[in-house]
Amino acid sequence: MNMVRGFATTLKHVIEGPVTIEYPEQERPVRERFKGRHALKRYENGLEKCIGCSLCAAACPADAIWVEAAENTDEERYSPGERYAKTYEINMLRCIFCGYCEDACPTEAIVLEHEYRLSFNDRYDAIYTKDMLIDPVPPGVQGTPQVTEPGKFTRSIPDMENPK
Amino acid sequence: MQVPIMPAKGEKFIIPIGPQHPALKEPGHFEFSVDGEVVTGASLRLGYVHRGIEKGTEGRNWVQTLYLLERICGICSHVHATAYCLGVERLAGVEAPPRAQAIRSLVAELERIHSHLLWLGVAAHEAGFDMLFMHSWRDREIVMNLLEGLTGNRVNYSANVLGGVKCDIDARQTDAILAGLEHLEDRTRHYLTVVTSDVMFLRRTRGIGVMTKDVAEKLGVVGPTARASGVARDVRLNAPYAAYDRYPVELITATAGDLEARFIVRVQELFETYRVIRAILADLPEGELTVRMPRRIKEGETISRVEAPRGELFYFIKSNGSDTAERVKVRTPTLPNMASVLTLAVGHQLADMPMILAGIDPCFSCNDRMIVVRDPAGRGAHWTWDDLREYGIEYYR
Amino acid sequence: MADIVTITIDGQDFQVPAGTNLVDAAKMLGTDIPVFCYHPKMEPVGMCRMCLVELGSISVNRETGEPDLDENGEPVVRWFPKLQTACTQKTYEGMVIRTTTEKVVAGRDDILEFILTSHPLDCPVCDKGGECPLQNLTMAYGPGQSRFVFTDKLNLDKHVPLGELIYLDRERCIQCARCVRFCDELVGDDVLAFHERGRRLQIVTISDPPFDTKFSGNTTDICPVGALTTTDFRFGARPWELDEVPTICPYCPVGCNLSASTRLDRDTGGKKIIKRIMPRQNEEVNEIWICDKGRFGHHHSRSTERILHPMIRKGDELVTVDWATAYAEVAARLKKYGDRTGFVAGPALSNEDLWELRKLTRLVGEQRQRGLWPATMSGIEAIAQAGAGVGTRVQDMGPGGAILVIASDFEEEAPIWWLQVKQAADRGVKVVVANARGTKLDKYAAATMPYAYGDAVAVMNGLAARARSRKKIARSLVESRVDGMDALIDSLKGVKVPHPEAADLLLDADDLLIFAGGEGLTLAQHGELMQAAANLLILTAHVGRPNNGLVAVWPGANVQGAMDMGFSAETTAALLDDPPPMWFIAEADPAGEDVRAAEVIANAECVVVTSLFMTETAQQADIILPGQSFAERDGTFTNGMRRVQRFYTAQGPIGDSLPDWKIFAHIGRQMGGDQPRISTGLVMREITEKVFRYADMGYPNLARVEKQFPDVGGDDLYYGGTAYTNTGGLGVQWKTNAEHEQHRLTVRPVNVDSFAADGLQLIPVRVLYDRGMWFRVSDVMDQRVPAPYVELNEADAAGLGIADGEQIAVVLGERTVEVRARVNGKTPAGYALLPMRLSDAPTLTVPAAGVVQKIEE
Repeated sequence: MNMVRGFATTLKHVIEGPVTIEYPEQERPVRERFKGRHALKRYENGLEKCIGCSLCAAACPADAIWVEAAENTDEERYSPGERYAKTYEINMLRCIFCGYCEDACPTEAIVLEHEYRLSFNDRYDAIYTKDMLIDPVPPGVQGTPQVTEPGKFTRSIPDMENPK
Repeated sequence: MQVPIMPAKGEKFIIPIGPQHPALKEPGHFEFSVDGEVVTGASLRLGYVHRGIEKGTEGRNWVQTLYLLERICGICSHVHATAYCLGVERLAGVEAPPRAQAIRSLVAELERIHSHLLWLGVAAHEAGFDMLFMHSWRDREIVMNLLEGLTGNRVNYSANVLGGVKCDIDARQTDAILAGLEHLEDRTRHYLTVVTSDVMFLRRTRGIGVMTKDVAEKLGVVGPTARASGVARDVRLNAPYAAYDRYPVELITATAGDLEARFIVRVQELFETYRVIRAILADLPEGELTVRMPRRIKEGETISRVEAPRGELFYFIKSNGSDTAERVKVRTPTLPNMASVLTLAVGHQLADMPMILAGIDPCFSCNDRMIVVRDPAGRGAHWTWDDLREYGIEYYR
Repeated sequence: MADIVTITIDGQDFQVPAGTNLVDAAKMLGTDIPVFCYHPKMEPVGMCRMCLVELGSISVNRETGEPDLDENGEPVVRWFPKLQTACTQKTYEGMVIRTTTEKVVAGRDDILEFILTSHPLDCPVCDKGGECPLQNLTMAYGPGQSRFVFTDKLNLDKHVPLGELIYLDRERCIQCARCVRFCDELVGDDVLAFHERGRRLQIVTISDPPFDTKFSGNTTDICPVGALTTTDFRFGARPWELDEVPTICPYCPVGCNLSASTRLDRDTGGKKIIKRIMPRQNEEVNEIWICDKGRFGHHHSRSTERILHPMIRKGDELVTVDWATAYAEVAARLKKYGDRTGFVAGPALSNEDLWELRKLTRLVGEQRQRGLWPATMSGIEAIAQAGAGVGTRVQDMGPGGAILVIASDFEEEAPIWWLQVKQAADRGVKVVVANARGTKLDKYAAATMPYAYGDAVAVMNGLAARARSRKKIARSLVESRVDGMDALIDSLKGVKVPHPEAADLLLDADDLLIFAGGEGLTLAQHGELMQAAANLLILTAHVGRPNNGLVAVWPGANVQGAMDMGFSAETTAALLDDPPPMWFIAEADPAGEDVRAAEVIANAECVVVTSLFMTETAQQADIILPGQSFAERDGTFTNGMRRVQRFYTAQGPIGDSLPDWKIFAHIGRQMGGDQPRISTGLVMREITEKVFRYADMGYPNLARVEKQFPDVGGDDLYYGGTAYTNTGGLGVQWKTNAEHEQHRLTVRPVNVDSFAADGLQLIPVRVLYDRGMWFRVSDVMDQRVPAPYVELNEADAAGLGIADGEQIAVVLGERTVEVRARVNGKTPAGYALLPMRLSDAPTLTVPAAGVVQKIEE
């Protein structure tokens, strides 16, 4: 009788099927709040949200972020306002995915997305540059740098709403 | 760290175990002196994964230190962050809002499920019961997914910030957690049956590694290990922190003090944990998630205690009024428990050693920090550079 | 000493000098009263209202003079009904203030809310963010929320250039007027002003060219918000990312303490570079000010034009070699020529460089021909006897003091000394300016002593004669310690006193400080001028104590140190008269600055140079050794007041360059000298053992820092910036003979011969913004550097048929330089002023007869 119970258990699990997945072929969906690789966002008009303020680098507990800023002009505009990130690098070997850069960002430019396949053969490959991090240009608009009309993009930080 | 319960003179065989994988996949070095198969003495050497975290805090600001400390342990990361946040908030004279405190407790309890299930699997594996190991780890995925959904990460959740928490809970999250708990509770009942009735398994646990209440008190053992010996001690009850005064837990103890009791206490604690989580979700206070924290923390010092899954976690935090901590001292629960392994080892079969070690749910890397328990060389409390150097040469000899 | 009074701050009694500004007094006593418009270096205006406190006085019974007591036996305090601005209050007996009461807290909170009504939320992109007083004070005292609606915010221009160096962000300005007051009150340049009123009040520049002052960068430091930022640093880095390295300005004899803010930089291959230069507080030297040349002239430290490797001339080509080859080659040449080698040290070599060069000259031969470039000024003996007393601070001098500035266009030659002397004049110090032409300081001078070029020595000698005739000679000093009195007194008999009233201003003062330049003087004359000044100071006992003595306005940052190490301009002059076949020129460009030197060097058999750039001299060299700029290495400079100051390594080396001292030491090693020292500290230790005046100059002494007041920088919240903090040391001054009691002093009659004015005399003058190789590469300053010019008197110009602005030729021996003519009435007739180092071709460093002519088409 015990033997039958034993086989029954085995049979039950065979019918249930495996709980593991064949990883590289099959991917496990991540949750909405999952903190994976960073992305630098753009506005709908194609301008970069990042203004090169370096607050993410300041907030980063692991010193993983490196930002160098430069000045926008209307002839060569990367982001609204005066300042943009000339260099933006994240060392994914140092990053601990705490998401504090996200919290520190005043323009919601940096977001931890759901990409988690980060593996490298070379330590230098772990340094993600701005080109690798930035989102593609939305369809139908111009990429950066853009030529913009003077006096239109003077503010780096989006306007705030009145307190209620 | 070297706990000097050295083999008596004249004994012939000393079996070194480790430093690679002494039973668990973490480094530690044991030396058991044996008489035949029976262990007659034991010594322990730790520190192979010392990372200098406490020193590291001195070069970081209060916020950055939080994320560093959260990485002391890969399993109970949240309790480290909670202990630190509570301590710093007390120093700064602010208190996190009730909702934040409740979420802290909630994540801590979810983490406890995660930790206990993980331990159950590891201990079962040491006992040669790999079926239980696989099942419990499969079920652990459920709680890890819940944590990922709630905080964004499967481990190192970053749920805490100084002055509150980062993640809120909405109705969808609540439903997901409740559904998950439903399933887990069912499974946990099954596990309780297994650890108390499987004959083969009981042979590895019942009557092994018996620690009486007196010995437990004397060795200063903490957490479920202590409670399995009848020591009624739990920081959540004795000194409620976060939201535990609002959602009190009930103490789970056992009196046998053997490995089986430790299994039973941990598994039964899971039921208590499910109950507390349901209580929190049913009555989650409304309000803000954070309060504003000053960048510089007032001068002063404090201690902070929380109940980690493995037992009492202790923090000492000192501020000199700047934006950096002057000193953060961490004592993880494995440290007091580790001494019990050496005591319990004596008189048991060598083959029981992995089980006895696994019974305290050890976490080596949490534990590997500079501690002078008793100074055999009679040096003072202050170690000079030369002392450290000499120690280092001796250590890696 | 001022009276000491008792004031009460938040219930605690303190003793302070009467008349101290209340904000300063409170700060000294450890109570922070927040301010925006007040600055300890400027007069208060009480504009921002941030410093509100509750103010009262202890009520005193008029009959008894005793304080009235209430029923508890406590003194009765009569409070002002409203909050008062602390910055406009001076301490007096019985003053009582409260800074922490609810009323005060509410007052500050409201003021901040007002100030923030139109201040943009720009902090993430603002260069000031992180070291911003407004940010700090808002965090410390401000309201959590504003009641003003965002639509009411004024949107003003964010990107207004005030000149090419400074940008103004009108939105950020909180109208504290620190910048306007700095330019108006401290500098006296009428360049900034307010425009419009009310909320639209804004800063404008009213000069042409805009913001035309040599101190414009300082306004960005004192601006309590990010309204004024420099073009040079704009968005360069966030302040908290910068490493501050203490350094010393390599340009002029003031020796301003600087803080080099460094950061790694992708554009330069991830190397550490200087992102900006900030002033470093040293109340003994530059207080907290620096000129724009020091602030923006740092780009030579990483210029792409730098020489990267040692090079040896093979035929017509320069071949890159390694250091070992270069050392061996130089040593071989030095052995070959031996004593027939002329050594010339540049004006900005560190003391350690000079010491190693000196050791090298000893190894080469017996002659030890140690020249100094530029060879325009001498008189180290006069300084050694009668140099300004240790602890001299122009800013300490009061109405009892007098300052003579002679033969110097002070603002161009030593801007920060000019600024301090100008402020001294404002405080009532009798400033007397003696020069052959009008300078900017004349406006603030109590008197001027104009003279014809070449007569400076006579003017100085006349002062001594006046002292004699007015019986101002200090008998006690003269009789006990001074040699050569009789000859001097005899020589002064019957000497004409050119400006007796001005002379009396100086002679009647308690303190007398003389700044002597070298404009319009030959080298020999300059030596006589310095001696004449020393004679005067010794005769009248204005030596050996602070705020008295002689300061030479040397033509470089470490000319004083070079002279201390045994290099002299006379040697250079002698070398030029009788040129040796081999020249060893260290960090100097004689061929690019002086036609005569250019001639001599072109004809030399062998020239070895150490240089940062391919200067005219380097182009003629047979061996070129790449030296390092002040930023890449450490060492010490000795400033014009004989203060030895350390500078530290701020960034990594460019190419294979090495510090000069190492180069010299390695060559010396090849010549059989010592093993090279491994650090400048060890070189300095050797100097302290061998040079008695430098016995106290060990590095630990030089690095010592004391608490300075006013307390700016560091943890301070409201004077802006952490860069001010002095962590590198205040430096140590060496003592003159007058300060060593055992030393005797010597005076001697001076030779007052003028040079023969035969035809047009060309007078080389120094300008701050020149085309010297070090400064030229800082292209941010391009617009400030004038095109090469010569200044002519109207009469002379008319005689030659030259119009203002015309491109003309200046004939210097066989060479001709094309420059623009500036014709005005200020230049003395018969003289033409030709700025040094402004043309690409060599000109003059000492006065000479010359020809100015129209360019023949």
